[in-house]
Amino acid sequence: MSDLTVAITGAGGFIGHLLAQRLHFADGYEVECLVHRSGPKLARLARLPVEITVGSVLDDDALDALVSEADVVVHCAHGDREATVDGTRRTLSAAGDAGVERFVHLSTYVVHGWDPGVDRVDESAPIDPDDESYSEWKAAAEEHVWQAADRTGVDVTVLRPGIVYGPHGNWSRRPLRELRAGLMLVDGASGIANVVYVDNLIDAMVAAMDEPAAAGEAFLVADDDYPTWDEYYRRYADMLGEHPQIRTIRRDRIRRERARRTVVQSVAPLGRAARTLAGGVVDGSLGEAETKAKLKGHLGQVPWAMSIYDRLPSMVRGSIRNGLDSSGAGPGGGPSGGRVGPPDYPLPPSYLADLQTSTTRISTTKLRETLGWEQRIGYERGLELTAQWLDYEEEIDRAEH
Amino acid sequence: MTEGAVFGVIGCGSVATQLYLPALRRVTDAPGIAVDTVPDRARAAAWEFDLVEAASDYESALAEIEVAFVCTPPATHAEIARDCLERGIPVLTEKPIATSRSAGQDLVATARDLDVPCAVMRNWRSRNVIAMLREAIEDGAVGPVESTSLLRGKELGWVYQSGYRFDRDRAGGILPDIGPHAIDVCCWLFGDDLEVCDYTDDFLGGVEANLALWLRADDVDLEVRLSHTRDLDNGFVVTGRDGRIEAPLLGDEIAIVDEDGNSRTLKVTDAPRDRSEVDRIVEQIRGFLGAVERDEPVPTPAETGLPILSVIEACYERREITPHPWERVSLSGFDGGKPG
Repeated sequence: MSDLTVAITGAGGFIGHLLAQRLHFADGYEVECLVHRSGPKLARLARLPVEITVGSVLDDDALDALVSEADVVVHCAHGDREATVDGTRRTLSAAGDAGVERFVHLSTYVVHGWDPGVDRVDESAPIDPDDESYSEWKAAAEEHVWQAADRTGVDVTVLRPGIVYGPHGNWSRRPLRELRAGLMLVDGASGIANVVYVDNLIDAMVAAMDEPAAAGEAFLVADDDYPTWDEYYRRYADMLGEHPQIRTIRRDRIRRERARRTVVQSVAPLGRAARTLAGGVVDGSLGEAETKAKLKGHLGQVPWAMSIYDRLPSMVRGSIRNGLDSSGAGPGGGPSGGRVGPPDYPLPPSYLADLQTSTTRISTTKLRETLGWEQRIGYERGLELTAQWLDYEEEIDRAEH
Repeated sequence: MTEGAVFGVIGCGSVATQLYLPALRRVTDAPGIAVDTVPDRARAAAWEFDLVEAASDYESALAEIEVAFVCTPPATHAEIARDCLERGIPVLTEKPIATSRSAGQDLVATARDLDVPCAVMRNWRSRNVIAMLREAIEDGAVGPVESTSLLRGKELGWVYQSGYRFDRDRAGGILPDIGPHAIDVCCWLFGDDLEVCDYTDDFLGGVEANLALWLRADDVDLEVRLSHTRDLDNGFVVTGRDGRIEAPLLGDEIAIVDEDGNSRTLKVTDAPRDRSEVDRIVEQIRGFLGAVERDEPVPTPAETGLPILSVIEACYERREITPHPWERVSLSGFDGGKPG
């Protein structure tokens, strides 16, 4: 292989830093890295003797410096909408100006929707992001990629991976945290988790960098295993050992449950306020200052209650003030009293509900036929390596299992 | 500080502007000079801390500086400190005093031969919990000490101006960065004669972000783990014949747990509670200036940095590229990807 200079944006991130590592230790690559800010991600990347620039994909000067010598740009950076969409546009512009030969854009399969609604999705499926921030931003970023290909002549390749898991990955750290907090699955999480072990994805990224047939193409990337989400989470539960019971909720109940919790959270402070009044003002067991502080604390948790208070006639507000504020006690009184029950399990957001119930499988036919990709690290090995990393991170204690 | 004595802060990055200069401004109204190879940094520091001059060339500035504080990246500490000493300027340098034992010895010899005070900042020693831990060990709170572990790991939050901590050519990496603090405390607790039994880190050709170090001091086994990327349970656990001492790295309390698991808490009584890092720097600057002005002993002389350099050198001599298992399996299956 001829020497390629590869510039990586988002090189401190989960996938970017592992790509930098892979290329550094392979023959024939020079690696240039852009990292957004100093911190743990930079410390992680700086383990390698590679060129690192600290800067943003919204900084044209930083981008120009990054890509000036590059043959290939691999764009892994993302963030808020501006960083994700405008950052992609700016990176493409810099790459075009510098005469970069190949632009590999890391997208996501959820540009086809969190639940594409078909048995098997391939690259010809419509770009149809849901009304969710991440999928819509990534779809908008992809649009810039295709437009730039037409405008600048840069060869572009788009990769749309599934759920990327493995060491340093959010989809590997997050299940443990959810399990510790009390995991609530949707409809038994019997949907398909289109997982891909991170090094298998990096195999595809490296293959996409200089394969002529990949120019102007998009590729979905997933492993062959297709576990259900329930199975995926339970593997992490096994790694973790003790954790609160895993619960499941019917999808049609999530909205009702969310509404119920909102009401409870709104009414509870009022109830405590009423108890304070009853206990403090009526039977006189509390002083005025303490009563006032407690009431303010309770009502302060209910924005609409304060809004109603503001709309009351001034005479009524004055009466309340006379009743509550005449002591001259300062701010700082907080809510008190009231029974605190066990915390409610966090309710899954709608995109997770879509993911956990989607039966769509990602097709990797095109990836195999065009890039010659094969899954190198199997599911069991991937989880084993992930467990080793989680143990190192002290997220789990393998000695106990 | 000697009235009118001009102080110079050489290197105006984060440690200077967040710690040294705020501390100096609490200690003295004397005129000061900010020096940094980046002129804007020097000017900004001079403006913020009301210094009389900003300079970009320290050698020229030394003509006016009477007491020097070296806050540059580690690779330049020894050279700048020695230049100060050779001009008769007392110097307090950030850790480490040098990046090699021979350079450290040269610096210490220069200070001794010229009889000019040369000190090194020892920030962890001055923490309440570390002082309490030392006292508890000396008092035999858990009997003879058998082993000690020290964990310090948190996601890096410090904002670096120069980025040297990530630059191998400028002595970056967690070993020369946080290692001097940790090793210094080990020396302070158990003596300077530390033997490096084993060492491992995650170096891949750049600078390490995580390390594990096993030391032996007389009859005590010490394990030190430091991380720039992981959240660890920060603190000491000193295990003795009769129990263990648990000490966090910051705070005002330590716990002594006996063999039966009964715990009692010791609280700081003879030092102000909740001192900030600047408070502790103030104390050390005052101690250093006492040596300068009143010929008192230097509280933390540069030679206390020599055992640290010995340990660091021994660690690096043992080092080899050893990727984690999850890294090895990825690299070995890729063409040409076997590291080392």
